[in-house]
Amino acid sequence: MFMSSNETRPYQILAARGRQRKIGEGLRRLYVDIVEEPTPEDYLSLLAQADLRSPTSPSEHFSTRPSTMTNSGSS
Amino acid sequence: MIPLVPHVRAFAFSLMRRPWAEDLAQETLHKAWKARASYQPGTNLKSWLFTILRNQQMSDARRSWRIAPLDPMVAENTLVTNDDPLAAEELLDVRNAMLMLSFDQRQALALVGAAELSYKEAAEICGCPEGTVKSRVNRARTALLAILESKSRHKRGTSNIAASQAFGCIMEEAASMQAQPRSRA
Repeated sequence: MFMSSNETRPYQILAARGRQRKIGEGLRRLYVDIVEEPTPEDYLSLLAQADLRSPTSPSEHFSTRPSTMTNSGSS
Repeated sequence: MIPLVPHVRAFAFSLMRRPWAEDLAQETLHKAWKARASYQPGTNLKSWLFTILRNQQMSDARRSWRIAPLDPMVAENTLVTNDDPLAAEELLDVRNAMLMLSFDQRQALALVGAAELSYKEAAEICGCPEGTVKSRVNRARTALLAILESKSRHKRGTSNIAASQAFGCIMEEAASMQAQPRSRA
């Protein structure tokens, strides 16, 4: 299936690198597409329920209340 | 935590097919919420969430068939986004190939190649040395290329047969044209 190294021509190495780069871009694109998708409602209700059930007030990092969406601008 | 939910989903989607990815991402957030007291403020929250997700996937793997390497016959055939049908098909091929990799390779490549974390961060999440992550990523990339190459060879195969048949027809044609003057003579 794989060619031995002395049969591999420079253009084949270049072509493989090019395909490798395209695959890498594809992986990243698939990831970013999901990041940019609106978060399904069930996630937000899951977190909202957790927040309501919580007896103590949640830490800043974990607050699921909408107000934290604006002041967590680190990312 | 809410701003990181899309990343938790995206990481889960890099590892699993859609319905299981949603389950995995939700389970991760649920676990994270329950374990929130163990998070140390100031450390990387994304890495912490990804570690929980990765551990969750491993424990699911131990007691379930559901993360077995994907059977190509039941591969996903749709992507939600993308307007360009050709690009969408290529992305889908990459996604399906990714889901055929071994667990370790898939995790390493998802963290480094898709989520663009450093080898160091990926190593902490996977609980293994950086060198191990590097070699897993390299092997994953080689395997992906091999899967996609064999797939495109398979696709080209049919047209190659057609082309060689066409070539054969042309040669026969040429031979008969050469033969004709002699047969007439």
